[in-house]
Amino acid sequence: MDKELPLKTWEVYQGLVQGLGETCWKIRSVFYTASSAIMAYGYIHAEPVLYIVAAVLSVLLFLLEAGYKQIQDQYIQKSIQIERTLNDLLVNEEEPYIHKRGISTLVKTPTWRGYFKQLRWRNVLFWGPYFCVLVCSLTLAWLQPVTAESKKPCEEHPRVAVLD
Amino acid sequence: MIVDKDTLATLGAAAKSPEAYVSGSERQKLRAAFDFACSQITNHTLGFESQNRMMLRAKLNSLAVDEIPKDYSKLITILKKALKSAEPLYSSKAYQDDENEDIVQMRKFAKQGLKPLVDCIEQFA
Repeated sequence: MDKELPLKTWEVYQGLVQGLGETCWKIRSVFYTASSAIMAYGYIHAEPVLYIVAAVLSVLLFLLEAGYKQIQDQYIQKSIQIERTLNDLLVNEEEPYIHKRGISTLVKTPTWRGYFKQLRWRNVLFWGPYFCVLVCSLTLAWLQPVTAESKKPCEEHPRVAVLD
Repeated sequence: MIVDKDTLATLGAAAKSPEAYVSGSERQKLRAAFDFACSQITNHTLGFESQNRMMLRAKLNSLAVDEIPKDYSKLITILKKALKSAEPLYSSKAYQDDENEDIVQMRKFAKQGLKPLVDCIEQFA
């Protein structure tokens, strides 16, 4: 068997894995900036509804990133299968391993089961930040720390509320 | 005895109930026992050991028929098959979609690689 074809396929899979990984990081950076900005704005302007928005946003962005991660995991698994073929070729195996589905970029769409799988303890670094923001925003929405204080508009900047 | 008793006992137990060796320390134990058994077999039959499993596979596959002692040719053939079928034992299962996939692969390894190897080693006892 020729090594070039599995090697090229492996490169394609690795490229896809890298692309999906970068997308995951982009989603995560949007999550960090957007959720912290919304919560800060909600705190300064005493708008508890914004804490709920931050909580909803964290759930939505978690679903989006976890969906991408499910697809990325499938391509990593495909890469591992190709590596098995390449290793067989490397050691001059008479009958190198070929996966039952052969070479394919076809992946399954994300499933709810897959989402729950992402919530396992071993993936705590993945879901932990989303969970922290969700808990913090819901706690702030419940406690409403600023609304307990009276406020009046600033004389110089009427759109800004100041505390007594 | 080609393989020491403890190692052979571990391999035998894994061949009988592969499900118990799918994860955790038992999986590590099986990996270590399998690597150790492979080294012991090649050292005893062919007089060499390899630094790692892949190098051992490459060496075994490059051997000509006349380089293998006739008494051990069957054992070496079975060892080659066992080494080939052991690949999933060393790959990460973190990315597997189906959790049962691991059990299926371990059963396959036990049936195709481990059991024939253990049976063959026991013949030399």
